[in-house]
Amino acid sequence: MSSERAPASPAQMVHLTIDGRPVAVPKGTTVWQAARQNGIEVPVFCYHDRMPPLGACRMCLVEVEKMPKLATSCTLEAGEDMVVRTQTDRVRQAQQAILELLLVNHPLDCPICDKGGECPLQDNTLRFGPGQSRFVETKRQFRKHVRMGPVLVLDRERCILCWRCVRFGEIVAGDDALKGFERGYHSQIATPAMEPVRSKFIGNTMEICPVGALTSATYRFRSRPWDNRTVQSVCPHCGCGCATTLNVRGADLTRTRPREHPEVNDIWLCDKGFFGYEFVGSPERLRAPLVRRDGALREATWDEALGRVADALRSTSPEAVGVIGGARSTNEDDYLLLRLFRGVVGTNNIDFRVETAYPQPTSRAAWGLPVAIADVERADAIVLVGCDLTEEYPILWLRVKKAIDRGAPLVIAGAWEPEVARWAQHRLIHRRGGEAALLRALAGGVRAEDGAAASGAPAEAIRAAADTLRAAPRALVLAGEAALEQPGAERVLAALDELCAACHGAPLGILRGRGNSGGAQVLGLLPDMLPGYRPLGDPSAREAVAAVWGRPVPSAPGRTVRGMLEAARAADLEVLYVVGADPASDYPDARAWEEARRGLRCLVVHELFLTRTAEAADVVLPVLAYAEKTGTVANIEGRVQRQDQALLGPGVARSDAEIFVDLASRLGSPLAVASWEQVFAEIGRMIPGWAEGARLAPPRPGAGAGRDGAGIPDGPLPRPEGALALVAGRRLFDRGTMAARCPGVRGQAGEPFVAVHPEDAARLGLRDGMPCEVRSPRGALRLAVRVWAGVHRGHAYAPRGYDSAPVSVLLDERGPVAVTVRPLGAP
Amino acid sequence: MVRQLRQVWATVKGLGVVGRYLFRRPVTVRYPDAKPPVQRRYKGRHYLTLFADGMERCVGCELCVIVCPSQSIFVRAAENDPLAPHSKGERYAADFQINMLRCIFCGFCEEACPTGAIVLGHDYELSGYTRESLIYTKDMLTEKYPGESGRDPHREL
Amino acid sequence: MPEPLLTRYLGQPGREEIDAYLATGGYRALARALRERTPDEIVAMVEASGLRGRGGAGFPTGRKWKLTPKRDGETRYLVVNADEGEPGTFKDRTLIEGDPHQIIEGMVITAYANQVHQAYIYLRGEFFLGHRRLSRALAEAYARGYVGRNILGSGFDLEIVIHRGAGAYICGEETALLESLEGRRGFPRLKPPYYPAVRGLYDRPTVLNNAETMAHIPHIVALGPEAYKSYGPPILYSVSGHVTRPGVKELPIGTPLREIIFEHAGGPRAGRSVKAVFPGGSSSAILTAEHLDTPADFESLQKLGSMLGSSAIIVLDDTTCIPAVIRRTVEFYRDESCGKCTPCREGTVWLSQILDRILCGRGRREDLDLLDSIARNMTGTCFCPLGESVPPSLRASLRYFRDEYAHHIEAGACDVAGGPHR
Repeated sequence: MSSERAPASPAQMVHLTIDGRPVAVPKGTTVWQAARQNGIEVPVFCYHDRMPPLGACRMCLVEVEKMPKLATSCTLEAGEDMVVRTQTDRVRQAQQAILELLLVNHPLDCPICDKGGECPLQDNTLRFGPGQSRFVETKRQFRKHVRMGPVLVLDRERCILCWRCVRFGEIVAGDDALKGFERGYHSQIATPAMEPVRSKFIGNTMEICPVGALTSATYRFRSRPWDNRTVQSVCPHCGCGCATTLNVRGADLTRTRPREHPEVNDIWLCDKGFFGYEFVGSPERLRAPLVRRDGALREATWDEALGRVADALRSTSPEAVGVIGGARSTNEDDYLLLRLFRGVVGTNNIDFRVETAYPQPTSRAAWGLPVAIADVERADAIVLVGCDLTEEYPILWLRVKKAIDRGAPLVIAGAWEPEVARWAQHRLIHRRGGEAALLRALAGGVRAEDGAAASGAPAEAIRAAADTLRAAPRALVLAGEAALEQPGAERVLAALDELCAACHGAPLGILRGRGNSGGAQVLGLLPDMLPGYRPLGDPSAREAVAAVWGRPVPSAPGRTVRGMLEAARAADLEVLYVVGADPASDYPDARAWEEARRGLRCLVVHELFLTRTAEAADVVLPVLAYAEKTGTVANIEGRVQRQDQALLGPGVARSDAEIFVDLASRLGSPLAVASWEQVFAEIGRMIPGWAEGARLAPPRPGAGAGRDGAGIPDGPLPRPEGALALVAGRRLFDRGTMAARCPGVRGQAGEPFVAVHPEDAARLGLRDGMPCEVRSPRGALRLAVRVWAGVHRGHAYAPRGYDSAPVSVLLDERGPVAVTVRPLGAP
Repeated sequence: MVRQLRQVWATVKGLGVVGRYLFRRPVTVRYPDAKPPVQRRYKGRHYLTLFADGMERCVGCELCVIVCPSQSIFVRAAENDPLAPHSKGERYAADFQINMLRCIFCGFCEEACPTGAIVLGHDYELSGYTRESLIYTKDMLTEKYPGESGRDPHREL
Repeated sequence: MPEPLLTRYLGQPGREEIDAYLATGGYRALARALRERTPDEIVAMVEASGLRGRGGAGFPTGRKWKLTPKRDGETRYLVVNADEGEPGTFKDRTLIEGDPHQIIEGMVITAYANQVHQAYIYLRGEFFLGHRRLSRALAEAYARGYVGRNILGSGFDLEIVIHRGAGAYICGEETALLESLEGRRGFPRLKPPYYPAVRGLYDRPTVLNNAETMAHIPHIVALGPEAYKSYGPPILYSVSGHVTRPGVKELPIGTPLREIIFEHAGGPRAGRSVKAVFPGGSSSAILTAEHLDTPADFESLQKLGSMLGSSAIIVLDDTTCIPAVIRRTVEFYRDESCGKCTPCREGTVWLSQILDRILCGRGRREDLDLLDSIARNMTGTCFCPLGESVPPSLRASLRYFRDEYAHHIEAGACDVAGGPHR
């Protein structure tokens, strides 16, 4: 059912006449597309150009010479010497007839319909409709709107049964979220058993619905299309950086819609992107700076707050200053951060990778995709290692799905079964710690039996997957956080290299990083890198930067986040400056953070909300959210995109950049910045190829990078009797700082849970939904039990991103943890 | 000579007009003691009409907003609580404001309204001491009782 | 008149058992085909016999087989459409219940001729007896080696699977049948590219034939095309309605309607006369008594704007209220519309609502033109033949029996004496 059409050479052009106009189109083009390409509009409802034609609505009928009946132009392939007419009386009569029939059972409640004003049915009726209906009977009636979960509202009366949403779930998203039920005029769209809809892409069905049958619960009645101002933006959530359009009414962000970007998100968006915008207008936003006075955080003026920060920075030696974060800011903010802290303060203790305790040097394992997002769909085989694709990078899944539709096999390796596992040809669910052995077995470096013994995945499956991969000329290997966030990460990387080499030099993507991680990485918010992936150790690179800044760049490599926390514990780090990050919740060892905090003299936090980290800070500076400032961001493939300001910030909140500029002045070295464009241009002087829309792909490790994990123990670690190995994964819908304040995301996230294999559940006396206590040597959490066969035996899966129950409480930066899961409230 | 005669004649003629009007009924109205009547379709102050059962006709569709040539209307819609609905249907106007200083009383809002919710009544005493007082809110616009506006919401529906 | 071929042994007790079938020469044609004929020879024989598909479209069977690409190494399927749902049609059911081995033998020969090794029978879900008998017959055929591996030692393999439908008329449409067989919602597929012969079941070339067509095959192979043709060629007419001897009548194709109704089906009840006839099931345009001398073949009926279809002759006598009959057929299509395309889904509801109103005495004068206009708007705009089946009989009835509709509208009552409506 693929609509893929091979690009045609000029020799494969067909020539036809549409409305008397000679037209030449590549072979395989439909008449509808040919007309569209030549500016002739033929109305459609069921046809959507991202899906193969269906021919159900019959709206696109045209007259073709030598054909006795009118033909549906969306399904008719253009043929040589075809003569097509779209404007004849017969065609108009048919269009009017179809619209009259569609409106027979349409309630025409446009005044209370959210689609009113941007409704294809309205538009087509106005342009092609009969003007008056001859229908005098009773219309089909259903119970009016039905809420299908926290974000989707279904109105079956308005539905014209174009099947777009059903086919979206079948063809594009592959989640079969909505299906057709009943027959004939009783036909209706619903989820199986009328349960809340389970999908990560349901927002798209609202976008492609040609009527108001599927509408958004969060946008419901908030605005009409003519009230909305549209502002181009970029989604701030996962690292994909989907192009979006923000709709603004007054001071209200009413909704987010996908903006067409063929290279990134095409025309789609995941539901976090769709519904994860309401935190911007949350009343909990910080409106004024907070300063710790008498042990409590109290509102202060900017002058007081920044004065205090400047004093702290002045009175501390540069090596004792550290900066964490930057992945939530724009590139311009981050660049000014660098100029302030590298140039003015003089420290290299800068790291944006808050959520990792095992950072690999960027020169050896840069985060991101080495190929363009759009190229993912052209891979001949895809290997996902420790990456829960729909939870972490949902838009990438849509590309992977297209590759699967083209026949590319998907191989999955991980400690638990991701949602997309049903599309995988080979599923290798293994023990945590067995990644390297499994990957080497896949690469053929060790025998499948040895890989199986070390990983717990069946040898037969490993062999079959290895054979599949060997047969693919252009494979793509994608490794995620779950595979690399462990002490043996170096070994896993070496094994990944081996696998890529075995797959005819397949590119390796490391799918990590959220928000503007891509920008932070390319700008060098890292202890050992300079802008443009130049190593800090290179004196000429340092000089080039110093020439632009007019200040020297310190040469000693700085500390990673983990290093900074260790230094803080040892009182070697005194001032920690956190920019849009929440290490207290997100650093994978909450106790390590708490100890580090106690060792700090001053903690400064840029935040939107009073997070755990902010609560513990000495100075909290309220900053602007993504929708409140103009600038650029870069995504996991390194593509630079602009986002525009849509709103004013709350209270006296300032952008990160403004704060850095102010601090620099206070420290006696003004940065002289007038606008974001000026900063953008300055970045361009430092990074070759820097431009809006450009892609600055993460570098592939050089020949001498020498990833070698020798000497690091492999395989599962010993754990106490009855304990489970804890694996922490990401969920698309979580309850983190931002998501918790978006009802649409929060509602879908549900309560935090711990998932255990049914066999372990039976052994431990756990039942689905039961409250339990999860205890590790580092701490304990109360969670609900979820019995799930998708997790490997002997493992417990807990989601990250729930601020009310941060899994970091259980984690230990020194190595994997074993947890005991004890039922609560059970006799 | 002829010139003087003409002048006298003109004076007499002018006084004649005065004399004629002296005995006619005056057209002035002793406003505000007496109020001049208006035509049936006079466009005065707006009302948000109610159904006979007290339900609001307005569904918050904002068609009046988009049609208003002086952009004097603001509407914010919300979803009805099914147990205590304001209007018949899912949607009602949670907020409805008309800036009477901007309004040009063209009546387009009335024409655009799909439910007959907004009508222009016959009141024309619309002055105030502050600008704020002339932004009519939903409370001020909504009829106190069904039919207060004196207009038939069904006129064209 | 020649002896019946297909229905000769119908009604004999125990006929559904394999021994009875073998006793009358059953499976001999299969044995001959496998031993003496190449697949191409059989295709040629079927083509020479002039056999046309008996599902309704009347496409020449031999040509259909030739159109199915035969590429080495590619899986092909045979699917037999026994989802007989057309109102008035019961020939397949009669054959399945009365002589199931005949169909199985036809299927094995067809599979051999097309070199297919996997066949399905899509059986209408409501055929409980048919399912029982066919399943048993299939088991017997497997046991005796007429189906399965290495059939009769020829080295030819064939697996046959009986699949029961779930009560959807649309699944009698060939592409919807394939969708249903694949486990999806019974929606017709887009043609092109999904011509069953080229991209059929599981996207593979598929020979898709009607059950009755299968029953003809053994006879063609046994008799040879010429001798087979001397039987008419034969065709099964399902005669029902107001006749005294309804049933399946095997007659040479082209027998005039009058002869079928009056000679073979006993004519109308005493004192009644034929008022109207559906010559090819409810999908065909209704004809009047004037048309009774038309030969019941594909071409002659097409000339009258009607069709032979599945050759289900429904006879209506003078006690019948035509608008009520039309309403019933429209209701049938309304309920059976799959809901995929707009004209069929919405048009049928609207038509039935208007007809309801007329028959309840609340018709308006403009309703007749409205009915005609809606039917015209549905013509040629529907996705599949289901929707296209509605307008012909409605429009024909408006042409031939307009007065009856008008009377309903004017008087608010039926003018048919003894009719069901006031």
